[in-house]
Amino acid sequence: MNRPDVSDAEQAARLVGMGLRGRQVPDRDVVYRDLVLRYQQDEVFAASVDAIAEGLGLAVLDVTRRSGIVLAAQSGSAFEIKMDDYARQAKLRERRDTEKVLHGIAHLAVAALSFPRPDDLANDQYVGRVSVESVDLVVRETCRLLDERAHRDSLNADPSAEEPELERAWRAYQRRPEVAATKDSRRNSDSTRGMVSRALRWLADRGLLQAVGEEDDEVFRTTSRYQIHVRLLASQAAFRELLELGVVPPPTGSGLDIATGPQI
Amino acid sequence: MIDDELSVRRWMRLVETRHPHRPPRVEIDLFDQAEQALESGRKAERDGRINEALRQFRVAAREGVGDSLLLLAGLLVRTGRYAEALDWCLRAEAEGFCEAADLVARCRTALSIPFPERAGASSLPDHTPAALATAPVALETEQRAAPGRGIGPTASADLGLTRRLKALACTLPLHELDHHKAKLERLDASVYQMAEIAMHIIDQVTIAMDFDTGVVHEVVEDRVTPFVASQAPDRASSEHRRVARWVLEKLIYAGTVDRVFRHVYGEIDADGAYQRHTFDFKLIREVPGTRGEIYLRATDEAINVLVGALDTDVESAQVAAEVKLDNLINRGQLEDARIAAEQARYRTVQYGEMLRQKLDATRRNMRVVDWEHDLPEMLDRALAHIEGRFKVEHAILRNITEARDGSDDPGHKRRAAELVDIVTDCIRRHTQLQSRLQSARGVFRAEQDRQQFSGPPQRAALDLHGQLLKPLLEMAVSEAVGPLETFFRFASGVHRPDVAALPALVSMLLRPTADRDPTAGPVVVPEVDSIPDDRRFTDEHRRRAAALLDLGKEVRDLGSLLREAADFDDDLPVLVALRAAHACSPGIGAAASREQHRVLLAVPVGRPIDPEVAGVSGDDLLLTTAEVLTAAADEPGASLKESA
Repeated sequence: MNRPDVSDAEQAARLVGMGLRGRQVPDRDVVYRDLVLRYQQDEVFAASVDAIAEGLGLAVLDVTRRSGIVLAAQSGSAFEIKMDDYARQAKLRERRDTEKVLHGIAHLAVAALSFPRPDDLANDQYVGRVSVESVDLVVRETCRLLDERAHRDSLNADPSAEEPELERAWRAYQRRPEVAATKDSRRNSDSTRGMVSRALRWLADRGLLQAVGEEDDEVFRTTSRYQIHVRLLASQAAFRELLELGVVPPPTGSGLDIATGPQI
Repeated sequence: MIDDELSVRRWMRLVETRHPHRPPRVEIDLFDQAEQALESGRKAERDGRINEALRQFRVAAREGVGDSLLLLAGLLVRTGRYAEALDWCLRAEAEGFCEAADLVARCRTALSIPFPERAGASSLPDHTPAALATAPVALETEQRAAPGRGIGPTASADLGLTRRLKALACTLPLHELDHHKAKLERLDASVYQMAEIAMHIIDQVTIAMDFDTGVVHEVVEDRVTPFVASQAPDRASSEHRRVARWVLEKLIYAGTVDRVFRHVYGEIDADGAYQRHTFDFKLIREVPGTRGEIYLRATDEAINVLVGALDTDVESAQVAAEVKLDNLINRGQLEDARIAAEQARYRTVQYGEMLRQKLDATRRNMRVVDWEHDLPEMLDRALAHIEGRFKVEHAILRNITEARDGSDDPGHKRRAAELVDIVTDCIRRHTQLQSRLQSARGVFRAEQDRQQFSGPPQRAALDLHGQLLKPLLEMAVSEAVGPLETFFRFASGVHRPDVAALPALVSMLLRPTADRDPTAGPVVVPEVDSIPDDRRFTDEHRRRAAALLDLGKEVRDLGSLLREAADFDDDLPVLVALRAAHACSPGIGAAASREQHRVLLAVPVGRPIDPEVAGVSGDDLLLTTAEVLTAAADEPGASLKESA
């Protein structure tokens, strides 16, 4: 009787399981490191790892010594993270769209500040540093410039009272206070810095960022996994949506390769 | 063009209703002709035959029939023949059509004829002799009309209205404080003038706002509480503080999560339709400090409300305020000058705030700042501005210092001194600002080193800031949700679903709660080292010396006492000698206050101690003790006599 090689399947599944644990890295785990090496050298093993991930509703983005196996959830899978769940704690009295947009901007700004130049995003060796303060300041500054431009372009730049849903995202961000003291003098999570702080801690909980220095400093450095997520998946997918909406012109000859990103 | 047409039509209707019988029905053929020309001109205009309409209008307008002047002018403006239009407009104005003033303004703007010179006559076409005759009248009318109307299209008048509406809105929160003060529970707030307290708070925050930081909540409360107390001196101070805190909170928290005050106002837009807009503003902002603490800063809106210059350019208002101050000082009106100086300081703070924002932008992200033109220009402007302010303020300072020193009136002196303080503060703020400005270019170079000089990209990647963040911020909220959700989903990795394992769950649920020890553990008794006794004289020495020197009425010489003491050990004579020497001037006052009844007295004998005992040498003393009497002043004197 032809028995399948169960041990290989077990090893492949183990590697996928390692990828689900965000904080494990090959450099600190001999078994993990061996599995990563085997993935890189053994094509049959790599194919079975990919197949197992596929079956679970995951996609293997990359497998490297630094990052380990980087997995992404396919849409509809059990591993998918939804913005609705993340922003659920937001107060319902505010318009949900606005809350979601502000949280989304916080995450995007974290990535934008982690990798300020295209080079930094492309360079595997680059490690970015972000703090709550710098992220908030960068977004606010961008909002201020947009505000200035709006004032320059039109006589009256104030938003219309009759069409609140057409309010621009920058205005919503700019209006939200940076910090706000609660009655028991804690930080208010509704403020923009509260949101950025939540985004950073949340990413750190998933092993995508690592806290640097004292906990109160709220300074984080990026990990290789976060870079791969942003580079291969998130930025491409969001940019593709912007292209479809016609918001940004398609890249012309600058070597941007949108189509090669994994289609999920 | 649409708005031109609309406005001209509006004038037409206006004129028709207001001046229905304007042309007197004179029975002259010329007039009838002109009337007919007007009619056919209107018809031609309706049919779109512009040239025909112009021709007919000109005929009618030469005779000044009806509103033909306005119609002609309006049509000319619409077809871009400003020079001719200006001429007819001036005539129309002279005829009493005040509506023509707007057209005049527009023509002048189009022809770029400056307003003050009023050189209109020179640029008039030569086929209008009548205009020359009416020019002086027109000039007067124009001078009345022009300043209020502005030179742009009619919308500019509405812009002024909008600005005033916004300025008015900024004061609303202060009024509402007084309306809602009954909401303060268990407190009769009717004696407090909340709007005044709010003004005072904004004052304090503005003054305390430095270049970097603001002021913390408690400090504001501390500073405002005395003012609150002066409104109701008989109330408890805790209540004063509560009122101050309530007003401060109301100024910060506007009730929404955004903490903004929102005011809806309307204006006529370019299409002539009424549009409602929202105006969001804050009065006092909470900003983060460097160490995570929260500071308060007054916003531009608040500063504007406070200063009262509700719609002015920062720079020009400052210049105006300072010129005014100079004038006031020359006339000796120092009280007014003080108010003007304070206003100048608010302006200074506001200006500093504006520049700070720009500089911060530069430091954070050089790519979003135009370092080639915009920012260097701005820095130069700011430096030039500060230079000018330094000159003015130093001049003022010199003048007021002279005024202060030269004045005999103490009131003048005091007010001048206050003014000196204020201007010194202004100069200090400018100095701060200047040092920031000077360091800005250094920041640029450092950032350039860090950000600019990098190798070519090894692999294609997106510019996250320019290609994602900025376009998304520009989009409407409802559109931006989709891409942002996508980014979030893909950038935040994989969600690990919780899977309940029954054994683990059961054991977790059944696990008994750990008993916690109610005590905090055994008390540790510290081992304490005893302090080594290195005193020369032990308690035994002191006791024996006291016994030896307790002489009662007896008088003894020191030598014999020392010999007696030397029988004990070598140290006791030294102690006895010291106490004896001290007794040469006994502390009678101290003894009386300590309620000692006897003091030791010593009087030199005039010969040395012989023989020397235990190393003690010097004059021999006669010793005795005397009673201290606290009753009368001469009693200690009596006891002294007794011992002698």
